[in-house]
Amino acid sequence: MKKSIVLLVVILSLAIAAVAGAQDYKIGYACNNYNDTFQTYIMSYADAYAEENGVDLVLADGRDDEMKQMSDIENFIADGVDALIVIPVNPQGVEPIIDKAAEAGIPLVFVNRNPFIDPDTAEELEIPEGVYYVGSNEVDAGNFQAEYVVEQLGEDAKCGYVVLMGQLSNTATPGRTGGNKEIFDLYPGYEFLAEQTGNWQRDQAVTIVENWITAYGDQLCAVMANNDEMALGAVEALETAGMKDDVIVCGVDLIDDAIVAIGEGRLDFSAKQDGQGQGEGAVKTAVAVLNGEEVEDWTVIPFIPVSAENVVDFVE
Amino acid sequence: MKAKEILSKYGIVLVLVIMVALLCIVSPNFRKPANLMNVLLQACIFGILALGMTLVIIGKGTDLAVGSTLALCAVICASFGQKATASGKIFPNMPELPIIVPILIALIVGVAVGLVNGAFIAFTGIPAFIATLGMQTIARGFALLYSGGKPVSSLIPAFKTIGSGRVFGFLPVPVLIYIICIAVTWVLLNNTRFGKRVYAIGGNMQAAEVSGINVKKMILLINAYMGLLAGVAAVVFVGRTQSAHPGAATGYELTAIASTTIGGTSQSGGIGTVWGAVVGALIFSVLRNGMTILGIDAYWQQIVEGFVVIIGVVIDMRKNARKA
Repeated sequence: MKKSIVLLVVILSLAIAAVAGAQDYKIGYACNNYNDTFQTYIMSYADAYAEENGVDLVLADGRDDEMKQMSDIENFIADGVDALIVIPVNPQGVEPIIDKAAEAGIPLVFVNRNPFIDPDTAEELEIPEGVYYVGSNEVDAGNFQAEYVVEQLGEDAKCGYVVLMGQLSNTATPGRTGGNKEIFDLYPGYEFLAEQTGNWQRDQAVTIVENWITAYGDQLCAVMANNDEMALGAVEALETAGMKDDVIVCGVDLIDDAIVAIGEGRLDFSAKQDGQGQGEGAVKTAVAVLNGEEVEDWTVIPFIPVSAENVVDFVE
Repeated sequence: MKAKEILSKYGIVLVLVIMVALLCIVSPNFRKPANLMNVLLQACIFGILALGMTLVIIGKGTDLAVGSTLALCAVICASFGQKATASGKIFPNMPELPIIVPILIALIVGVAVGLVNGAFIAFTGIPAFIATLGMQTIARGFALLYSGGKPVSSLIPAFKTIGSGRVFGFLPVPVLIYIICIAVTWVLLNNTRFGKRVYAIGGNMQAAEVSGINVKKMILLINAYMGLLAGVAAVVFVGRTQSAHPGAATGYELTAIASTTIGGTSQSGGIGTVWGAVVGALIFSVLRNGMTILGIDAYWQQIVEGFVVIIGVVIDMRKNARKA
């Protein structure tokens, strides 16, 4: 009698373990900053996907502070997570994060902010064993913007362009900016006038573009912004100066404001960054690695060019 | 009566002990030795800042610039500790220097910033709040200017030892540095004439001056010590992150002030202890670590942290009111 009870308990617990083991992964998601709107989109898609697929996703807010993020990651590891998903606060200082994951012997997936691009040369760096990146190829966004301008004005047009850059520490900045220049350099009529960082912020972009209007006047014919927030700042400054009809403005991300602005004909172009693809891709990659499947170390989530022609497809 | 006295004197320690005990019971992962060591490790940086802040606040000052001072020390320190092969170096032709050079430079920069703060307060008579508020932006500006707005990375491996090395196989180097800072600050405040004078000028500045204390010199020295500790914290920071971001440590002054305050240091000066600053820093660290491990929503974490500061000060005020 006693024996059979013991046997029953053993069988039951084995069965529970088997069922639980199949799906019950716990993954730590270290967000860079809950104040970064686009990152919270990516996070909510990751969270929704995790829930649908029985993954326990634990979230942490790095508050744009590397040290806070480091602590979050240490706490996740102490909590016994099976894998880490990280949007690095400082993509150029990820070495300690990689070391920690390796020490704990768990897979590490970076999302959206690519630590494996040299910020000065935009060259791809080698991705270490057990580490993965899910994100877009930032150079594509820059290429799409410049190609749109060339398409609108013609290959032989004479045009001076400026670039509103994001934070200099972020690898998206050199990628997107470099992508602009790569295309414009093919056409001698397109002249580079200036570039400056607006730190992704709309208000800073307004001031910078106001100054550029003063400095370059009619020479200015295209504003390439590294994100939509700054592109919309540029639109405001140009409208105030009565120059919007003569200047093409391009952004990146396709945030909700940008969809509206393109619909109204105020903003000309945006390269949609696929937040859903990135968020879901991050969880998919982590789970695939944990299941022992073969996974690419770099999963590219493509940008989608959006202008007045196809913006209706993106209105929800 | 006796029990009441103990409770009012060590109330905040009790709070820490209860927090740790509760978390240990609720969460098996919290009580793992590796995690308890994490709690100490994560307390180091603002713990070191809180030590200096305790001196500053006892001396009736404040320092709103420590976060940006830390960032300035960190970028300059890191720029002298880059690998020879690093791309985009601040000093392209500089060979690899021994680790002691960047460390000393961080400390010197910290002391220099502290002296400037002290000089503004002592010689112009403007409130410490204003002088260090100005320095907050000035130091941040210099950090951005110096680094060109970009993080300084590709550092020599010695930084790794500082950030993640272990002494005797279990004690993280940053924790050792923190313990040394605690000991030095404790001796300084309790066993030296300097320490007595800090309490004296915080208690009553005019009386201190009349009794022959050079108050101006004291203000310079107190702020220089705060700067020195900001430099030490910067070295630990660079070691932990193996890079130095000019935007680093934003808002750390508030965590340092909060740790000091919940540890019982009075904002009106003259009252405060080193162990209070340590307990305050640990409460913050336990709170952040524990809440993350319990999976509490990050927005709630911020709200709870805010309430803890307010409640800590309320307890402290009642304690001091009772004394008077």
